[in-house]
Amino acid sequence: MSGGKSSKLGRFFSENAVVIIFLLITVLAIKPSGLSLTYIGQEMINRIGRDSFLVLALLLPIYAGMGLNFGMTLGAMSGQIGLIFAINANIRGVDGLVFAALAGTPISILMGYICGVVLNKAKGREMVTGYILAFFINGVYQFVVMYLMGVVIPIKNPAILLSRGYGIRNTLNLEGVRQSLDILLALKLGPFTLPLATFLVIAALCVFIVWFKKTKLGQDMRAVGHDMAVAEASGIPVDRTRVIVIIISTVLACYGQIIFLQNMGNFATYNAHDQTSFFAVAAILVGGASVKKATLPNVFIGVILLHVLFVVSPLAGQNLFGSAMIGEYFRQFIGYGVIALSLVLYAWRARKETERAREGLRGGAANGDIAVGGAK
Amino acid sequence: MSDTAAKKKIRQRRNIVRAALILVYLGLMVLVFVQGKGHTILIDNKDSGSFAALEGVRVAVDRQADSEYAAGDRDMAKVVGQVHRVVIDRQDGSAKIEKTIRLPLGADTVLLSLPKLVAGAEPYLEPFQVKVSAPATRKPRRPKAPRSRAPPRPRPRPRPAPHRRRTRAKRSSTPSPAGRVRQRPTPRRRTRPPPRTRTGPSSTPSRAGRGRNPTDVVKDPFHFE
Amino acid sequence: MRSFKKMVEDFGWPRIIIFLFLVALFIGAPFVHVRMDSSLSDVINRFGQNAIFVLAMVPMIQSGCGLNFGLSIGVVAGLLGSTLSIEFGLTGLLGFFGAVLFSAPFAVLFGWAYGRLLNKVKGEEMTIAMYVGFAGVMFMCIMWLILPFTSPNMVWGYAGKGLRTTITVEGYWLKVLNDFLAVRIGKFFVFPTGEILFVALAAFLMSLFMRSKTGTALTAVGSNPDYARASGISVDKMRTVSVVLSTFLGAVGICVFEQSFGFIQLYTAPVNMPFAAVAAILIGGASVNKASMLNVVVGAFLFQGLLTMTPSVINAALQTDMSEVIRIMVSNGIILYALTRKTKVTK
Repeated sequence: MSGGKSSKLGRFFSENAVVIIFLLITVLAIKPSGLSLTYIGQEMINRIGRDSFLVLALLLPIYAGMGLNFGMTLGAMSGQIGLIFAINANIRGVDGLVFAALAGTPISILMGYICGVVLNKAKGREMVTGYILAFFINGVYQFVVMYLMGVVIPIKNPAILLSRGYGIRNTLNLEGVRQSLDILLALKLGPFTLPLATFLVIAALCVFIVWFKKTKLGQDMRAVGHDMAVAEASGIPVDRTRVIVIIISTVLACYGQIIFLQNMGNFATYNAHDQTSFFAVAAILVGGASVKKATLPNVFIGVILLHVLFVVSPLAGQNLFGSAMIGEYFRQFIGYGVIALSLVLYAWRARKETERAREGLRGGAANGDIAVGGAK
Repeated sequence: MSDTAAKKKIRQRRNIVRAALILVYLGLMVLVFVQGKGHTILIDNKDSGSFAALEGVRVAVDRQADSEYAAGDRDMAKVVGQVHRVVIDRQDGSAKIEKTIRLPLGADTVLLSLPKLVAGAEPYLEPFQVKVSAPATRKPRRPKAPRSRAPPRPRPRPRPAPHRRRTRAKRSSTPSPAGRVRQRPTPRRRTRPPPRTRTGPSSTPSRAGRGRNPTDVVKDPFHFE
Repeated sequence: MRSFKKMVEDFGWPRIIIFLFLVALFIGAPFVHVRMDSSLSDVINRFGQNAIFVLAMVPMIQSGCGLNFGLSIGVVAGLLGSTLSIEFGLTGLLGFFGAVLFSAPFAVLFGWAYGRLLNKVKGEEMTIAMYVGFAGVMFMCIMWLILPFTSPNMVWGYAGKGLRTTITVEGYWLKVLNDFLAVRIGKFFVFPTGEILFVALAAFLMSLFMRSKTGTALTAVGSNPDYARASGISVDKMRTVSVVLSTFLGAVGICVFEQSFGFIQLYTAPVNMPFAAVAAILIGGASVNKASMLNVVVGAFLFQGLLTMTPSVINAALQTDMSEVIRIMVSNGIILYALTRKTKVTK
């Protein structure tokens, strides 16, 4: 990539490589899948409503330089516990969702605090640590929901307990609250049905995020994200700010998971949160975000692209290869592959930036190679 | 010393805001709890005390479709919230009776005695204790549930009352709290477990109890929906 | 007294706690009617099964590539080798070594590509390793379905093509290492001599390698890249070597695992294996950039011991199956602890 026009085009491609690749694969897969555009369109609308909130929860940690918050699963689990309480008290409709959100909030604040403190102890390794922490707390969650609920935590509604008398059932039917937010203000537009209430909630969150970035706390986060040492020197309490960011992200994930589950209608008590971080991270990365930079459009583009591909690829795989399993595996392969690709591209680009900066300092001398241990 | 005074003021304000937030939080919780709590009203048209069962009445709760009750019948209505309107039509030309009932907050299921309600005697409501049957009995493999189950499209609430079926007077029927279906009291069947949601009687969730697989160190993170 | 305290500190509190907990479980076992000898046999067996995986972590840790969450790639290479060995109908020790031999080219190839990739992303290796590992496993899932295997023991009955999820090695090379010079005491205790000898040999070879010129260069690259570069060592080349070695050991490890476990597990099974190995080496006292043979042995033993004893004893004691939950908390808790420590080296 040397000078002039070709490097600019090259830069555009390398910066948006993931979005472009994804778009390509998606468009290619639509035809063989045999799905109508109307169906795909409606699915896209549903998925935006369902998943955007969760993906939006990832924005602030990226902004604050903490990378992809794999610990959002903790928030999801808190939301699920809130939902269990709401079902236990048999609160129906949107009231049930609000109750679940309120019940889950203190739990998610606590979880966010724990996550933030742990991540502070692992600076430089936040993503892996967040990932493992999510698994660890998953164990705690399983313990609480499988063994403590009904025993130490009073559960009044026997329909949600296991037949042995304690512990919550594997699947909970959310018939009381299912789709309650979605249909609250459903608008029919031609062949499509839009869940307006959900969209309004998402829009409110977007507004909140935009406003938040302008507050002092938001500016602090940006400074911390830019350079922790400089921020510390400027008097910003770096550790505390990071913890606050994670707490906010966790609480948002809590609400996001509730919205997600009310759309799904069914609640796999022990597994529902497993894929949450995977989907959200994949979505934001597909939308063009990187570990250090993410914008609102990244969120929505990513959700649309990722989910359209996830909708069409199993069928495309089935029709192209004659096997639904291949489509399924292909879907997962693409999902993980895109995260890996984005991370690789980001890291590679970051190194290239430092190399370029270093070369600039040196005045373009030829010893650039040795200094950065170039690939031999 | 105005500095510490200012700090005190800030701290005071911060505490006031925090207290206010907590109050709002608690208030909201109470609000949605009261507003959204679902109840099941078991409308009982049986002789209770000195009040005789009514013959051939049509009863409607709130805006749900009305149902016919012969003497000795019991049906249920699912409602949300505390205050409800019950309209009783005796189908003999006389004016419809309208009563407003207030459900107790605690009970999920209440038993409403029609005769008492019509006669105006208190108490016509009593909390109903649903007996959950022992795990040993098998779930009845009746396909009856899907009919009245809500279709996967979103439906506005309140749902219309389930179709009523002719039932014989039967004391010991234990209605299900979760199902929407009318309990058909069959003779000799002691307790019927309420129609469960999809999972069968499983004593342990999917993961635990599985054969010791040494590679299952970490719960499988890639279990797709 | 001071030296004792220092020894304790060096050994690390978590290790001591886990060791004491393990001892407690062993002592408590007979009280809940869990046989000590069969438990011990189990622990030793599982130690042998998993030790090579833990050993595979060492090269990459030493060369500064972090914890090899992408071990799945090596496992997949090993699976290719094992399936080929079964496809060709090799049995006994020939079958086992055939599997290792067949996996070697794949392991080297995959490892080399994977190493090149990691070189481009210095600093963020661990997360990328994880996802590359997952993506690789998923890709192989597609491959397992379409590769032209024909052996009737491996393909699905109906369609005749596409491999089954689990393939038994019984009749081929089941326990060929384990039973080699095995010592049997009573009905419940079997000491898998062959397997332990193999593991010991591998560890010995590894320690020799680490002391060799390449090995020291590798360690130099991990502990002080600038010094290494100044001494003329190519950082990238050493890192690639470490990745290839780690991948190859992963392949060998899965072969050892299969002959002991009895089954070849395809499709999404490899996805979980790196985490166990990572937890094991961390509990053995290694840090993110330093690991020794002692870490491997102690770690594998403690970890597998914990994983074996905890479910059996606690389930028997509480009459309930909490094993899964405990397993999750213990193994992840260990990794978490190690990740959050300031890098302090323990012997």
